[in-house]
Amino acid sequence: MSLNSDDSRIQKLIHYHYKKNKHLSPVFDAEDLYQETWIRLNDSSETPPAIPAGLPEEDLVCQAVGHAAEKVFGKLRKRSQRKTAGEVRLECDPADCLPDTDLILDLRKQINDLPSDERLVIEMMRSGYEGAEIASCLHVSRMSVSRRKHKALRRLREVLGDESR
Amino acid sequence: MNQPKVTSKICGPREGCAPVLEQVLYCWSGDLKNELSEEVHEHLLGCCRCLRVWIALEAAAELASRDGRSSNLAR
Repeated sequence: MSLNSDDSRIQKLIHYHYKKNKHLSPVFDAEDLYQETWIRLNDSSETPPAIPAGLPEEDLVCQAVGHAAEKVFGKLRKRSQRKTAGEVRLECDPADCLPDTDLILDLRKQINDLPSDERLVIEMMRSGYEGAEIASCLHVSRMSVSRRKHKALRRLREVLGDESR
Repeated sequence: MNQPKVTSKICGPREGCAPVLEQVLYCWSGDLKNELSEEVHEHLLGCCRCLRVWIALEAAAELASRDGRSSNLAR
């Protein structure tokens, strides 16, 4: 893929990450930043994947679990690579880490049922926006953003129930 | 949907799961700049119970996001 300096999206990303992360210095932070930037660029340029009509719910859940596991293990792997080889390794079988479908569906329902203002804050945070940026976009105070986030997390914690104790 | 529940040799409640899951929840929400503390990272490497919750949260978010897209497209 070639970079075109006229690409305004890349320019915006560079400015955004430069301002947001100029305090970073270690090489791993730089690698993470580079990776995150490309992921964002890729995400922003792709149209949402179409959901094949009639795809069974079970397949959708399996697909989502696959993506989720990839993401989670990827983060752990990346973090472990910062240590010397052999110092850190997954001590449990990844196959044992597959979540119960009921828990996933309960959490999905809770996310869908979140009041729209709380869900928006969570989605913006998950997209990488900071509290101050969200407050500015939504024309509310940072305190309000924080309150919405905590309310949303409290609702999800209720679904997790015993799992989170 | 009647999928068998996944069990694990080390899936019972472990000491330290509660604070780890709290951090996982914050990390999932985009807080903590997606960084977990060293202690939490160490715990996660050996606790499939906490990993299951994290994977469940990520999977649920993807499904909810698809639901949102579908309903937006339907409008």
